[in-house]
Amino acid sequence: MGQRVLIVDDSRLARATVRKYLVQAGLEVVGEAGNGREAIDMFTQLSPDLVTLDVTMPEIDGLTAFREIRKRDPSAAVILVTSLDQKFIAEEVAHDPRGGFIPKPFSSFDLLKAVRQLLNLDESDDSSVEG
Amino acid sequence: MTSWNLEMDDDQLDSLKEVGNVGAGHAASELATLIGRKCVVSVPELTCTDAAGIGEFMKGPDTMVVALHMSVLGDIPANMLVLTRRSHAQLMLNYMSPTSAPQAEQNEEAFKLALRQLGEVLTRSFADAISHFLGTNAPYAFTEAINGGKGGIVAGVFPASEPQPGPYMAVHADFFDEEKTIQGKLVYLLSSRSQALILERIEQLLG
Repeated sequence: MGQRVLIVDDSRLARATVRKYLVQAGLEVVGEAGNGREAIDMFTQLSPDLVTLDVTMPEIDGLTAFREIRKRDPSAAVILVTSLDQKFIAEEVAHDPRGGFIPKPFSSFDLLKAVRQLLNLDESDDSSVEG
Repeated sequence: MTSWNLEMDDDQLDSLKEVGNVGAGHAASELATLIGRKCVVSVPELTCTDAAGIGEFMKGPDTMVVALHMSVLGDIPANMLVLTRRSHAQLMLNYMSPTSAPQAEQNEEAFKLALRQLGEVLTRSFADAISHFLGTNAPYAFTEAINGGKGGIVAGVFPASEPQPGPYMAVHADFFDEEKTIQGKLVYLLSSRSQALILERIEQLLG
């Protein structure tokens, strides 16, 4: 795929899982952040093509970080990845063509489907996607 | 609360927290659906504790508390607890059924039955999410609603007549609605054997 991704989650396990699925699909992970504050800083520095963003995090939560990223770049592609499978999360991105949401736990299929949708990629763009 | 040497590295502690995060997030989401309000959870914490220490999870004065308790069997045996003030438990039921919720002061038995049903839904949601995450089998043994002070909760969850293996690793997160009209704690209690099983499973998943 060749797209550059920033992974944001306070859990190293969650970041490792997302990284594994994305790298297998040919995406480049350009940075990892462990809270919302780091996410905003790294987004500004790295200008990634896509951000995967956890919601429940210390310091600044994911929704606050999402809104801040939106202010800085209204066209940034952001996928909220959270165990809070609730209406208010879905509504945050419901009318946002550059926003997505997948609940934890997720499979590589779930994640890559959301990634492809946001980045307008075909399945043929990656060669080693696991279901 | 007694402390023990955790004997786990940072990655292992992080993994247990994430497992708790997945379970607590789903339980809070189930509660949100039931009460029609947004519910969130805090970042999970880990505490190594004995049975007596469970009562200390409810901070503040020793007021009446409700513990919704479920034992999970299967691949990774565990205890799950939803701890909340009795007044908050009543409010949850009122939000669920504004006109027909059983009121504790009028019908204690109906109140306890409704809480037991609520506890079953929340703890099952917690257990199912973890089971799905880890790819494990998690049949439920039973669910109960225990009313009492802190000591009463401990005695209810761990009857004196039964052996109390310990220490436990408690993975716990606070839950609350947007206005904090209801608050409580979700607790996932693991024996050392169950902790090891989870960590083994995670290693397998990460390949």
